[in-house]
Amino acid sequence: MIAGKRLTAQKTIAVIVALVFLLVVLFSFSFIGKRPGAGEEFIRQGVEDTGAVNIVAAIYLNYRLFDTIFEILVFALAVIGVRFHLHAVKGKRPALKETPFLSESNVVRVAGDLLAPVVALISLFLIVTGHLTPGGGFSGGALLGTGILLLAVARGGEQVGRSLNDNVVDRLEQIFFVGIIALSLLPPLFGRPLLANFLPLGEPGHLLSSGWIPLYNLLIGGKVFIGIWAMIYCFIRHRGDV
Amino acid sequence: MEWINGVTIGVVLFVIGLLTLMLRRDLIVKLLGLGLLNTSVILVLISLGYYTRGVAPIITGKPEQIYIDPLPQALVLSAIVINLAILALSLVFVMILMERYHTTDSVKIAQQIEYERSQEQAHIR
Repeated sequence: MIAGKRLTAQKTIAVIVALVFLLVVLFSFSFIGKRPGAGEEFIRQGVEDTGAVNIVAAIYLNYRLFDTIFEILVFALAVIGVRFHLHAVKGKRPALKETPFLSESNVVRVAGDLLAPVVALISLFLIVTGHLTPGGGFSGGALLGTGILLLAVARGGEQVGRSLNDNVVDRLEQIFFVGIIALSLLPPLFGRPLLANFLPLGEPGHLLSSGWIPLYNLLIGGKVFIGIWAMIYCFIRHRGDV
Repeated sequence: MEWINGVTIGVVLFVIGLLTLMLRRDLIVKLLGLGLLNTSVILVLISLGYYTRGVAPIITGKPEQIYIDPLPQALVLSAIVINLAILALSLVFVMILMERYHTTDSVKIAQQIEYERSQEQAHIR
């Protein structure tokens, strides 16, 4: 009984603290007026400096590339962590079946087969035109990973995992990660400072413009896709099915 | 109704996520709360950079357009990726706990760990 009462008191205190936090934060946000933020400078100078029409891509792949590289490092660490720790979970670990129960439904199989190429095409478009329209490596890679999950639901994890197994995933992940790091270390060879674009900027608004931003988008898209597929494949294998 | 905007809703969602983290005992529900908390922070940051009738920061060359602040959007990208990383990793940790204690109830897991520790102490004595 005493433990129960103490728990109730703790909950009440938690709710009160949360409500006080809510009021304080709302009160402090009410002082923030609408005024031109720090982004004005990027909008004025962005196209001239980087050649990218999409200013968001210009910021995270040119002005603040350093942050993005560490963001990719965090993502790679998460993928390594998931793959490493899932080996520690024994579980039942049943054998992968040839045909999972979901694909016994014709609707799922046909819809998955029809939709997966469309999703792949859209995500490739997002990755390639990341410097011209909303999109880029991260969103395109995440979409491509989701598309291959769709294929795995329709066809079974075993069939997709046969062509994208651990060896291929390891090799591709190393290639993309080393590519991203190596590309960021190249500029000193061309007489530019570290992490500065060394490719020609081209004409803003064209597909081949804005220096190395499309290259980075391709590499990041591949890295995110492979990372998401590696995590999904780990979970699929642990569960024995999609 | 001026005060109903992304910032206010984001702060309210943050508090809901915080309360879920503190009050709920199930680890999976706690992870849902963590996801809600992360998303609410993203909503607040994006809304702070929004101007009324502003357009996306893609320079088209048309004059007299208000562009939305691109800086929060670029920085929030890291938050989204780290959100994904944290959720995937903590899901695996929940699976490890589930494997060992056969429950996702955090209080029960704490009790079992306490019990195992007391058994160990007794064994040492």
